Amino acid sequence: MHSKLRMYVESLFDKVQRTKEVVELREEILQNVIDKYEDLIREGLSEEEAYHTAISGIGDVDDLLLSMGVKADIQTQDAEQYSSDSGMFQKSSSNEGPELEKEEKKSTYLLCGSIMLYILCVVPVIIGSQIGGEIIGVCFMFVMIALATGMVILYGKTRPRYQKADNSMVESFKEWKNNNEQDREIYKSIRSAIWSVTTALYIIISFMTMAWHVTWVIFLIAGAVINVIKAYYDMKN
Amino acid sequence: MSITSDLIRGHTDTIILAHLMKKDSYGYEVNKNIKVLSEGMYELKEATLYTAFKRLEDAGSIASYWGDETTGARRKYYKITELGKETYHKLYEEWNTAKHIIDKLIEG
Repeated sequence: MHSKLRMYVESLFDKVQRTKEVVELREEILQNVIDKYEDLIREGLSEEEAYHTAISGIGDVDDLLLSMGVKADIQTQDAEQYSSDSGMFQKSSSNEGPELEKEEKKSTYLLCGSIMLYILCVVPVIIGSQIGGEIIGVCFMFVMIALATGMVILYGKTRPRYQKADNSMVESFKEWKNNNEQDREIYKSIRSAIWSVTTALYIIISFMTMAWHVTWVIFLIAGAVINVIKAYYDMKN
Repeated sequence: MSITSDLIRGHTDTIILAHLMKKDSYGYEVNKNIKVLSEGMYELKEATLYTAFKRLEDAGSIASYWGDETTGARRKYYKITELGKETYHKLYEEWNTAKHIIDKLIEG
């Protein structure tokens, strides 16, 4: 009869992802039901009666499972609510502690700084050409571009990632979605960086060589590079 | 009976905390105790009991640990925390106040 009780209790948890928490709860409830069954037998009930009394005493476990956030059916609803949920996540993550908030601030500074560097990187070239030190100007430009690119990469790494609250399917889905978006974000910043660098290079090289009829090719090259990067990201996903 | 059950269900937390004030206990023992004390008139559903356990644990009122039975199945024991004791006294006082007021209000 114990195996019959086990089968019944396990069937209650059928639709649910088997996390450690859920299995522990299942075993706890099963033990509880077995204890009760044994007690009822001792009180003189027949096996059949004791089985039914013990089982009817379990009640509706749906709310309990919902409170653990593991009900499998939630997943579809969750996808619909995702937009509002992700907004909530952003808010709650910044409330989670000063550490996360600091991280977010840091990554914002990194992004702003890198964009500023990209924009300003032509300034040394302009100044250099005015005072007759073109090479130094170009060197400075490349140093600035290198710095800015480093900052963009760091930005991608420091942006706080979504941590799973527990092992449930819903949380795994959120984490996956969040990571995916983060990858896209990095790709986007790399792409915009490449375009601005290309434009700067085009103008500088054209002015230095005066070979305007050839230099536009640089845009084609940049387009190709971006497509290669995009292909790399698509492959990774 | 069902209305009485509803009235009592609102005090599930207080009832569980009251039992854990005496000693650490596990699910079935808590429920059995409720049944005995109520002279068989009231008993919690497992679902209700474990929802309450989870709620109390999340609130920090109780803590759980695995017992080390040498025979039979291992049981998860629940233990009341200092915060839980405070909560219990508060809930107990609240019930006394409510009982006093309701008695006054509904006396014929």
